[in-house]
Amino acid sequence: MTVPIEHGFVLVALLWAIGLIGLLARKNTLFMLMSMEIMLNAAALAFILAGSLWQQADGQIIYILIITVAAAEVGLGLALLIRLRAHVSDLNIDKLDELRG
Amino acid sequence: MEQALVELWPILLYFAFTLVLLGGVMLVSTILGPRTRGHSTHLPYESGILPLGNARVKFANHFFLYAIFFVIFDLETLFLFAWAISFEQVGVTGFIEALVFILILLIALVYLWRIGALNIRKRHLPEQN
Amino acid sequence: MSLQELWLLLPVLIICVGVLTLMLQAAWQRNNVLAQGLTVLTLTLALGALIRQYPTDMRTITLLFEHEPIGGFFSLLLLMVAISVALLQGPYMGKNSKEVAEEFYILLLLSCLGSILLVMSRHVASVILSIELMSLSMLAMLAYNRERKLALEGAMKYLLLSGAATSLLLLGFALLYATSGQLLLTQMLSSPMQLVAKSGFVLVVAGLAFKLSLVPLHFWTPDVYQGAPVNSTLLLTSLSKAAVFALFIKLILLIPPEFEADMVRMLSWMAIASMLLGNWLALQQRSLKRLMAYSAIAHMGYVLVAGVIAMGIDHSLVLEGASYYLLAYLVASILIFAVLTLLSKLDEQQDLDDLPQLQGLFWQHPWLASVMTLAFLSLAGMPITIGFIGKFYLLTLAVKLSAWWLVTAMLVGSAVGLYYYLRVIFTLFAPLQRDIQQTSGAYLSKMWIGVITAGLLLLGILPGLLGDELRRILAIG
Repeated sequence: MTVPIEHGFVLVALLWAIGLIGLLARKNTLFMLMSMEIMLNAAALAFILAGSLWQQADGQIIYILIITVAAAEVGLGLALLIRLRAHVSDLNIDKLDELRG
Repeated sequence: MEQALVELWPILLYFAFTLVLLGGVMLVSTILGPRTRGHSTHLPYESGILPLGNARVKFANHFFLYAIFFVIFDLETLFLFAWAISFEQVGVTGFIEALVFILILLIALVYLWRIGALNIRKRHLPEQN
Repeated sequence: MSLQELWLLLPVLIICVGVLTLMLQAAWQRNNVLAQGLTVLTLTLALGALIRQYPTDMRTITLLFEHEPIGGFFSLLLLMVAISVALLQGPYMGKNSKEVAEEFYILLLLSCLGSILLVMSRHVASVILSIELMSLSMLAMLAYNRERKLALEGAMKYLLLSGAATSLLLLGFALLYATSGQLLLTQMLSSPMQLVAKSGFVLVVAGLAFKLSLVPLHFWTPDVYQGAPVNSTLLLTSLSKAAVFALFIKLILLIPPEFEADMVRMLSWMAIASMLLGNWLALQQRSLKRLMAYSAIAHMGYVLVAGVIAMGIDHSLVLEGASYYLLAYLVASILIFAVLTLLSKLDEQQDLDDLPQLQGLFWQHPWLASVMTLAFLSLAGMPITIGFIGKFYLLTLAVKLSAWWLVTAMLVGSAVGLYYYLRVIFTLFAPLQRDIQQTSGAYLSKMWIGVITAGLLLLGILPGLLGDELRRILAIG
């Protein structure tokens, strides 16, 4: 017995929506980074599903590429976060509102 | 559902067996075991080092660098793993490409080492409360 | 991978070697001037290699890349931008900066590498890797001055939003892959498209529109532009826009005919909205960088017009128009940001950015002010500059297709644009208020600016000089 592929895509949609809601609703920058990561991983999961649909390994290869990219992205994000801590005492995104015009 | 049960019954059996075993051991040891009341009975590690201070020590963010280096370099092994699987097919070209890949990683590592990203300086050690 | 393919990849390989050399150099002997020299040398060598084996027809390099005339032309533009940034970084940083110097050049080469690979990609994997290589290294450059809170703020916003946009792009590609079973861009889009595939393609377009800051997805642009150090802003406004546009146009030319009408409608609205909103919002800006951000939104709208037209009529003429317009936009952006770079310092909390600060620049530094004036005139599309020819090309094409909505939006946008560009120019010529410091020395950078300005004028006065050549370079018609 296998799980129908549609369920997988529903999971992708749910994960992506969770990430998006987190990105929009959270105030803590660290959690926003995590939400962004969830969104990227939802997309990566979609590639694996598509690959299994066509019985190809390519989807999984792309998955590896995506998590590499996501790791680099999160590394940069955390570095920025640490620098921000030196300027703002907490991680609330609403403190970052000096750019406007 | 029928088919799933057929495929999964060893695992279910294993779960049930583990539960019974664990429950049985705990039950038997409460009934039969001797009870003593020494002064170190209720310490978390009866025979180890005594816990000291709060668990929520502030760590300097230098440790974050190690975590990130680990994540990045760990992911690179994934690519080598993919190469190892298809070692026969890709042949000498693949071997050379993997060598180039490792060389680039090595240069990155040398770079990190030389700019001192791998040193823990005194001020980066955890703060003592 | 055969030796011949490696040979075709030579410009890319040169840049790779340059990156590794710079890393080793930073590891052993930090030296500002040496790093800059190495970078410029690498980029020049890559440029030489690219010109030496300029493609005349399409050749594939393994599964992932292709070498073709249009991509070659865009690569030339990208290398030109990268050389400008490398030359400007030296004077901008000064001799005794608090920030380390070498890493900027490493990041610059990396993002240049990513953009060139993006232009050459023909496979989803290479698109993902190269677009992220480009934007992540650019992200690090946006926050290069770690003491500036605004730079960090802009970079953080860019990171979060571009991550979301990237996930859109990936999701779109995943849907296309799920319906077609192909990962090569050409094969992926050639199979008949159902609803799922169409929505996938729309997601891909949305992800790319974010990077191009087209209107519904433009909101990040002004903040990021204003926060970042001015030299990194130059890179963001030119390098990433040009490279992503190359991919964008490649994708929309592959759309199957039954889906074309819908896409034309959607992209037309995006173009019209970008042109009008970008120009409208730029009207009220005091900060020059924000003004350039909105102007970039508007100009991307103009270039998108070319893309829309390209789907309507024959491709070759449109590619020529789009390339010319993009060239004009890049040249003007480089010049404006170059002047700002020469007037600012990386170590200070703020760049010279506020419009009143620039008042009377002409009376103190006539050359810089003249260069800036010419660049703004070119952006506004005034005659004798290259911008005029670019706009002229696009307008002719739009009229030919009788896309009257697009023509109207272009004309209205240009008129509004003229107003705020002239406002900047008038500020430059107003009576001097306070002393404006410019970086002394830096003759090489100033010579480079002179060369680009000369190009701007020359191509504006004699458009035929490149016009016929361009057709040959792009190997069309």
